[in-house]
Amino acid sequence: MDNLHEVGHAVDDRKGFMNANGKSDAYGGWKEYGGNVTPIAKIMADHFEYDNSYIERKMAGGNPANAEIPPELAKSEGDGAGAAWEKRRTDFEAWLAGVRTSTDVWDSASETKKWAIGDTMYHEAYDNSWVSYKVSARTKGVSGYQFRAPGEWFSELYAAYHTQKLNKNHPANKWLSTL
Amino acid sequence: MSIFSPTHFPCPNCGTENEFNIFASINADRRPDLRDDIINGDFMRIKCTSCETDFRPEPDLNYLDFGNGAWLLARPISAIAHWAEEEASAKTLFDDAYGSSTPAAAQEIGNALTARVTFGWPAVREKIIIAQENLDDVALEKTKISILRNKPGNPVGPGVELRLLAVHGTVFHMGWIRALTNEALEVFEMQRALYEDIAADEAWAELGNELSSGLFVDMQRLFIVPVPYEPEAAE
Repeated sequence: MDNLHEVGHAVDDRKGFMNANGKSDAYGGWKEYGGNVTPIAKIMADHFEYDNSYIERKMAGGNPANAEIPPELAKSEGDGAGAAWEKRRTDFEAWLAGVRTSTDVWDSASETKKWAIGDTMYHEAYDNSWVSYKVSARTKGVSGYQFRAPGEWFSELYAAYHTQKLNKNHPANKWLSTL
Repeated sequence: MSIFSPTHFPCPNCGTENEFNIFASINADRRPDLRDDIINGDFMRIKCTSCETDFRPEPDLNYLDFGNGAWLLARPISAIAHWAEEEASAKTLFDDAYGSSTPAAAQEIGNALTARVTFGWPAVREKIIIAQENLDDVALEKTKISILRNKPGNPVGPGVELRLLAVHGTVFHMGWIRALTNEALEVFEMQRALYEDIAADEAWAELGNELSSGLFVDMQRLFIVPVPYEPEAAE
């Protein structure tokens, strides 16, 4: 299985399969950001309603000072503004800690569900290399590791197919049989 | 990318069970740092959490380096006694991955690979260097036999292997190494010309055929009579 997993990588690299198809929902709906956390930081800033700059710097590995409370929040929340603002920050930091590569979050369906934003899971696949994929794709998963990165998604399916461990009704049978 | 799993190992010094990530496969095209770690001797070198003794579990993994045309089944040194069965297993594993029943893309990759089975870390390391330096491992093994025959004072003994350690220009750095501990008993330099002369010499062709009759391309196949695995002991 491990040997065939590595063959899968080699086949993927040679055919450029995931580069060509990986963005499609049928192939996991993957996006690769590399070390560019700016697009994800913007999404998280909207989701957690916290300071974009703080989030981006934190995701990039920095240690920024806490952002100041926005005037509109201070006005609307009054005395509770400080606590509300701090909760947003700590919620973001809990998310960030949960999706770092050191957590192997892809191995856990429950952790993935916990940290996903809607149907999209954003995580750090490798040190300073970020990806996202469609959480709904996990219903057709063959392993947790498959959801680490696009290449792993392909290689795990390739290995499962060639060890006859892939369910005959799995939609990947069709395209795997044409490689 | 490269597959590893947490595994418990007893420390050889104090017996403490340590959990470490043990690799089952390496893809050197995607993780060249792991290839470098093997060459540097740092790969899977671990420190006991109790007594801090350094130790290194024996290899038991497959290694793919398409860029340098190498596929290895790296087995523990203890398996060398059963090299004939190991060689057959390696061939089956390679054929299952790249053989005639696999997709065309896999076959194309397999056609560009030299498949080998190795035993112990010094042998893995040597095959990686051979692939990086674009050398012919059969010719190198013939050269080792020439050294064995002609160089006086070779520290030959059980578990001691002659290995290519590095290549610098026209100089091959060779060493007699204890396979289990990686201890160097003797290190010496050899001119590349010797290797090239032997590679081109037809008088060595028949021995070359014997050395390359399977995936265990190592002069030790000429000296070690393979022992079959007991059925229950076969891995």
